[in-house]
Amino acid sequence: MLEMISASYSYGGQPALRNASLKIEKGESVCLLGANGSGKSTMLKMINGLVFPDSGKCLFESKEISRKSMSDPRFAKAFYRKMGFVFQNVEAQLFCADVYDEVAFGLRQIGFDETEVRMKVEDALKLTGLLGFEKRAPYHLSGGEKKKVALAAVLASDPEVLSLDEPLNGLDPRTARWLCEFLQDQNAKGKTLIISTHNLELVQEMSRRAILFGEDHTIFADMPSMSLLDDIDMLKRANLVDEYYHKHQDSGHSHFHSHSVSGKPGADKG
Amino acid sequence: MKSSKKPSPSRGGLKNDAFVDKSLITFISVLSIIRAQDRQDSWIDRVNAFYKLCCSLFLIVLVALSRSPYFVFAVISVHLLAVALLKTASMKRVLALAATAFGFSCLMIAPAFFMGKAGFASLIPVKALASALIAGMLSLVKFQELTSALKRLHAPDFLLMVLDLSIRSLVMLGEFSLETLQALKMRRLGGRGGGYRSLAGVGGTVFLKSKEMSEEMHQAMVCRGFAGTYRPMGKLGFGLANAGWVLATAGLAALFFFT
Repeated sequence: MLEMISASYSYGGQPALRNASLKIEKGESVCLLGANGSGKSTMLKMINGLVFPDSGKCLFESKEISRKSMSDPRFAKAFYRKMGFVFQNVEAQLFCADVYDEVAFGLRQIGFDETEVRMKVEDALKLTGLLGFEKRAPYHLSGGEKKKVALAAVLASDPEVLSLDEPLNGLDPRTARWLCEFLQDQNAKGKTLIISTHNLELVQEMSRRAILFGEDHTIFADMPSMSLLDDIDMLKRANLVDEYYHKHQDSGHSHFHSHSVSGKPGADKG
Repeated sequence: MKSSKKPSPSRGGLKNDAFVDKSLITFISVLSIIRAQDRQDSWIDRVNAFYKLCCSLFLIVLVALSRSPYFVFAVISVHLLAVALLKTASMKRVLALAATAFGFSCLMIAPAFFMGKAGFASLIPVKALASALIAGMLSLVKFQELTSALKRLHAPDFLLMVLDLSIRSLVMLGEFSLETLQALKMRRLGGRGGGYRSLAGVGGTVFLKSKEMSEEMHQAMVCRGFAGTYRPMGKLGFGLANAGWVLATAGLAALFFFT
């Protein structure tokens, strides 16, 4: 479905992504994992046709996503109908006056008539638990509600691929749990999920496959999530975890304090 | 013996702190006006913005053209009646705007009045008062409804998009500036000097933030199929409140033609 062949991208000479190659099949759930600034967000933007490779290729259903192809309005419209992208900073994604218009924006751009728009908006709001929020201004909502509106806005047009940049950022544990379950459900319904994160627990919960980015902006590893999370050395080399990261049975975690036995408060035995 | 002298903020420091405080208060008041718009629920909200906009523009033109004090006073009376039915905060806003316009235009024609050459010019302050009352009532329309109304009047998409995004960005950047100013105030601790320079730094940061935000917003719009057509929508019904508003305007228009 999605393919990248030796794609590289740089911002003003500063490399953001180097020689990235990967394939993502329909219905997969993939996590892009890496430290801050390793190139995950750039790759997501490339997948969504917002930036184009300086060298190499990015293909969607065997068609190249390039500046030239995206300048064709018919191609761009068809492409964006299949792709849904929830930005890391959802504030930027919410630009309409009220929640209803926000969710309806993409549908109106596609060209649905108002009756269909109303039906689809209601479905999306129901799905995300936002019925009753129609007339609220998005910038007055809480962080979790904003994220839900962004999701509803993307889901309204029923895209085949859902990509999310750091989806759990700024969410309270309850909303984070809701979002994880919601995404799992969407994946079970056949949507392809691409999630960029540095949250290892999210990788463990959400995806069977993880793509690890190194600090040199290359793809460091592309393997099953569980094998990757077991390979602490590799995570250390990608600068994603430090020496305090360790595992208890199935789940890995690190503490906010050192494990050195000093006898001082805060030191424990792991 | 240790000195227990407290560090006292210098006069310059206090002055600069007052400057930062004033900026903070300005930001808070602008943000609260925009926020308050979302909580309005007075009778005037039941009138559709499209009718309000059309009627207001029509009445302003008639007031400008009129030479009859009866008509202008009738417009003022009807609008004062409407203002009297508003909530206190909205009432204060409209009346403050009207009083400012009236006072300023009085000042403008005062020389002509004292020289006994006022003539028709003496109608100017009254006309200014009438126009300001009309504009004041129109200013109570929620920003988002105003853009929908403008769309129905076939205003260019680009203008509407800029209007909608500006209001939204105003809130977001306002909140960002507020946080930056609060951080500045806390870090200054009443220290001396550099207040204006720091404030210029805040301005620069906000400018960079706005650039970043606009880029992200454009990308988000593109992702949802934006291809240059901006269509803010909303229902255009014709309920009792709309009918009342249009009838009142029609009555005033009739008075214009028959006086």
